[in-house]
Amino acid sequence: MIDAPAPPIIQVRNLHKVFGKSLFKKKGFPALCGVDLEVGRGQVFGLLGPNGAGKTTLIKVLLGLTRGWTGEAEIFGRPPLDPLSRQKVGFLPEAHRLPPYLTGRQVMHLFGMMAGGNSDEVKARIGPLLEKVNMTSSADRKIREYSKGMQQRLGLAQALVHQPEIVFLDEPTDGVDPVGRASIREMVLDLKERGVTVFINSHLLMEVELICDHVVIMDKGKILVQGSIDELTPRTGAVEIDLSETPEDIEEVLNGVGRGFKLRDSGFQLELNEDEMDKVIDRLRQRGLSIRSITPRRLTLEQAFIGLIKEDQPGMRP
Amino acid sequence: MNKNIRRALYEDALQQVLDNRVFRLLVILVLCLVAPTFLIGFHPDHISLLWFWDYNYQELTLGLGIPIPNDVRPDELLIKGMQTVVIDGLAGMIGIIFCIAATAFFVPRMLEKGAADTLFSKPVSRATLLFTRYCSGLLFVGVLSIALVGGMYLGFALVSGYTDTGFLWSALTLIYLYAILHAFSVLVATITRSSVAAILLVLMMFSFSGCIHRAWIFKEYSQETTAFKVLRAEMQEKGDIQEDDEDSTAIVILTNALNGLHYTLPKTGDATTITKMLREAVEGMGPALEDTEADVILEDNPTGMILMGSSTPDFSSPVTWVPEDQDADPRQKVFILRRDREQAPSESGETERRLVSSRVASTFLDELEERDERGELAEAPEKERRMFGGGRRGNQLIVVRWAEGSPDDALRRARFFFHFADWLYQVDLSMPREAMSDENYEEWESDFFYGLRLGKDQFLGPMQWYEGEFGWNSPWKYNAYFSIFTSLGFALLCLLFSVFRLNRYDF
Repeated sequence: MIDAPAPPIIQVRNLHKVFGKSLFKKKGFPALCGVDLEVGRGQVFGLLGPNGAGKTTLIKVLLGLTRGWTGEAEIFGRPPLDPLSRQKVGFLPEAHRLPPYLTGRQVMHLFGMMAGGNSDEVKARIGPLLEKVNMTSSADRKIREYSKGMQQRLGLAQALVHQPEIVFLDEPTDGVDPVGRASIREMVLDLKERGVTVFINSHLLMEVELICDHVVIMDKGKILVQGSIDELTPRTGAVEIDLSETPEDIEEVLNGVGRGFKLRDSGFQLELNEDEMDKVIDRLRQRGLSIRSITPRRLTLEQAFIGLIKEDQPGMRP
Repeated sequence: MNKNIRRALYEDALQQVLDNRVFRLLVILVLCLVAPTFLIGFHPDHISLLWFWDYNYQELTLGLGIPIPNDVRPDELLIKGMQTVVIDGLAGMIGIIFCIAATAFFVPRMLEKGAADTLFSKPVSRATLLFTRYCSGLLFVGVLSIALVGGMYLGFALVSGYTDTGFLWSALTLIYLYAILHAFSVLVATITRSSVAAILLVLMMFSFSGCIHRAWIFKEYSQETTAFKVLRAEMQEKGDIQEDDEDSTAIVILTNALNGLHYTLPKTGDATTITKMLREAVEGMGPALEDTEADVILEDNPTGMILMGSSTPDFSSPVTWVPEDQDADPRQKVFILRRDREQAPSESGETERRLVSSRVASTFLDELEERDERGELAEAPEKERRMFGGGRRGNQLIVVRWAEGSPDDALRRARFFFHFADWLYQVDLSMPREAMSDENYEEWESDFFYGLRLGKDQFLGPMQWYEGEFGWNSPWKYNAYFSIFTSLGFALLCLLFSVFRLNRYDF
């Protein structure tokens, strides 16, 4: 018997949202224009796009924070307006504000119980989570005394306190120091290992490239492209060859094979086809040079992103 | 919503209240108001300060210039005065405004960007979260009101021995008043997302509804009271107005607008009267006897005696009290007679003067003195003048006391004379000397005397007149239930509009 494929956690079809439309103002600002999306379990999903692309609006529609949209949207098979659809959802909003009258521990307890958790179970989860975000020593201080970075770390912990199956992180490393960023990355990878779907909205493309396995790029309320990191960052045709020792006459050794020669600290870069690759390897061997690695060059996510946005917005400067 | 969510929301509300600096300040203020009730003891004949220093009421009257009428118990007067000043004045006006200002930010802060995203992304509906903020406000005021009223009650009970269970209703009335205003504050805060706007508009609404309420009362007063009817009749007689004159369109519109606003807006001004009525309901403080025709009231039955017949008699025959204890001396008796002050013309056709209490009492005293000269009395009669009934001038009451029978088995007698409006009253008290010591008799007579009140005076101001009309069983426009339901209905409508608006927000 073949198991039926697991239904997606998020399903969005032809989603439209216009802001500022009213009885007196027929034309508003279109934030989402026919978005289609499916997100399965256990994926780390990166949502990219320039400012005003509709990324946050998409997340807010899914969390029931934005209303008055048209189309279809479901999360765990329920419409976003149903509070129960958010029972297994964790959310760290951009520039969030936690209740200033509570301590860090109380915030965790409150939000854990608001998700329907049992008080004792929630309390048991708080300690390890605070440990992970390095907030144990400040857990009993009031939120109003926290720095921005501390609030961000606690914000991440509160999003996870009820053991969600999907977590939306809107600019999760905003205001966090490099050590904190690394620990947030570790937490995201840990969530992925546990099968939790993570939805990351970030402008830090390097980070997205490091931790996401699926990326959606949006602009002007539309999805421009979506796919895995490999699919979005195609090979450029160039190859980086690292040598144990680079002789001064390396360009003469290659003797005109390939194009676009660039010398690098530990070797060189060259644009090659498959036949030319064999020739290069042969010549290096003949000269007695030891090859450490051969890496085909890819576009960075940033390059791919800028390229796509430039296509979508012809007037945009790189 | 499961119990974990409910508990979480309750704890959140509690923390929000406990963390509030104004709340802490108000707690200190409440303690300052409650403390005097523990430090000062009010007793029938003296005041004790810090349980050691005693002062009599005369010292207080002379030293502080606090006038204490003769016909009231000074301890009760001062305690009730303190209760009124603290609850109706400080807590009911200033305290409520403080609380409104201190809790107005609950909703706007929840709706701030960042806070709203975090909170409304939880699996709890927006309506529930808004309602929680509303309840946080009620908790805020509830704790303070209960601490204030409960603390004062306890202080008076322990130190002064004064227990007035009905006073505890004051806490509920404060919460009721705040609940109405806070609902409006929540509505404004939801629409404007501004705590300053919420505070200002609530204060405006509070004042506006108060003005409308008073204007409506004055309108009703002018339409319903005899004085105005008489004035209107006189004007018609003089030809200043025609009987069939219809009110102008402007007056009709104004009257209808006033009625509409009064019936729609919350009747916050009724809160104090409702408290008073609840107190009466708890303590059975309705008068023992009420002359509905002349509006004279006797608060309590004479101690140890029961009224024979209706508590609202027509005075066609004397109203009589007899001892509760059936084995008691049957000569122990109290009865009241009422006579018309207008006299029939004499045989010669001369109009007789209206009866006044002093003249009737003097005639009666003369008769008694004659009897005393004949040796028919055990003790010679004596006359005393006292003032009673409050008001600016008060009313004069003449008491004539004497004793009858043999010296061994004397029967104490007293007859009170007073007149009010068109009636002259004669109250007779009989108490065998054996049944009560002289000291106890004086107290018994005083208690009876203190309970005598002139009720709804025909010269009452509009507010006093309205208080008299307002009641649980009054016609619907003066009905307490109508006032409560329309006020709570207004609050409910505010909350429903708030939820409606909140559900349309994009965060």
